[in-house]
Amino acid sequence: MPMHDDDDQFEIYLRQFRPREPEPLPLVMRARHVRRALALGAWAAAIVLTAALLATKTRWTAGLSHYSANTAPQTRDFHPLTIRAADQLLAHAPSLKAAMDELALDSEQKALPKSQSAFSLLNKEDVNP
Amino acid sequence: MNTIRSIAVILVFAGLFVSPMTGQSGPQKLLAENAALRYWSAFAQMQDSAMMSHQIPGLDDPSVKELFNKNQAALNTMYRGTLLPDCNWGIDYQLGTNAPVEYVRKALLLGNLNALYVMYLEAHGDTQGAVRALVAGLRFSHDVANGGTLFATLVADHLLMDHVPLIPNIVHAGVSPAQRLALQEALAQLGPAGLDWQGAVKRELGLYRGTDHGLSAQGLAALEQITPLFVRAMSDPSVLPQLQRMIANAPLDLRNLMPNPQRVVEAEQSLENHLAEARSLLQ
Repeated sequence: MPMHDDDDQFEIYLRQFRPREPEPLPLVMRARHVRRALALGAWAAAIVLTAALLATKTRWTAGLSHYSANTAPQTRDFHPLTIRAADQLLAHAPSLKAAMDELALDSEQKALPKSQSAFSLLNKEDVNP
Repeated sequence: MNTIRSIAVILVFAGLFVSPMTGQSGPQKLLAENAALRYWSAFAQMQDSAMMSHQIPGLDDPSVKELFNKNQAALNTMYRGTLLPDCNWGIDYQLGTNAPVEYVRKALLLGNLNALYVMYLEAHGDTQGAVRALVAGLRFSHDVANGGTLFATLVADHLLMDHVPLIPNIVHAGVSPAQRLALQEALAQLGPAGLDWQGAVKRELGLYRGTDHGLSAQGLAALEQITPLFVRAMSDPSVLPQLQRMIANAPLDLRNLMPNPQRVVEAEQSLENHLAEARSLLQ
């Protein structure tokens, strides 16, 4: 019967079937792409950062040398005043006025001449009638 | 039930939106009225304060005028601060002698700048400006001592002694009744002694009990006896010889810490005398 022939042929056809190796799932592929993109991005960022650091360091060094050239007296250590430091100042200054002068000068440039400071001007000025 | 819940939700949201608009209250209001915060703003606005401690050619020099111009904002901020009723520097006494008091140094610079500015204005015939700056300077100087140790009080004393002697010059140059009244009120606000010397001594000597000073047991015992006498000396200088004897006989560790009471009493008396003179002049 022709029907049998068809069945046989169909069966032969089916036997020829070989499953193909499945492609990776879309999610896995996306993750792989993302990883690759991240790696590339990291490299690019590293290169840009290194370049920026090199450029900044050059400018910063130049700025520091400019600063120290112009404000040399201010480069000494500055410590905010504490009660202890104030008491020590008070204990060791020869007079209260000397302690005040020292306190004002301490935050500023000790190296500068103090021949006629605002304080000395205040003291010299004849404020009484 | 749902209606009640809805009303509650509406009330909560209304409270959230309305409370910031109804003005400050409680601690926020206290903070806003704390002059010390304004003074810190003024310190931040200070420019070229180094000039205060080095060469100043004279009041008429352009550099001095420039200094005042640069610091106009700082001075104005300070003036606004002096209009506030309270000044709390918020010293962290829990840190003992390590508590930062940098504001004292800044205040010394700004206060001195202001005294100089009063002189400058007076010299240039701006009496109204000079009186305004002087009134503010007196209040600012007084505020510097608020809640601080003896050192802050001595700096405040130094600033008051920069400002008070300027009063006679301004008065003799001629002041209006309103300006005279402003000066009178400014002096009245300072109180008879000008500063709270006893409170400052108590706070100062109270710190010596702390562990960071490491006083010996003998030193601490001597401190217990010396403290009340030192405080009393601020109102009764006749006890000064007795106090000095006690300090001289105290253990070395305490002696090294103790401020010279003679100096402190002298500073107090000098300020009191200057205040009395200025008050009588303004009568």
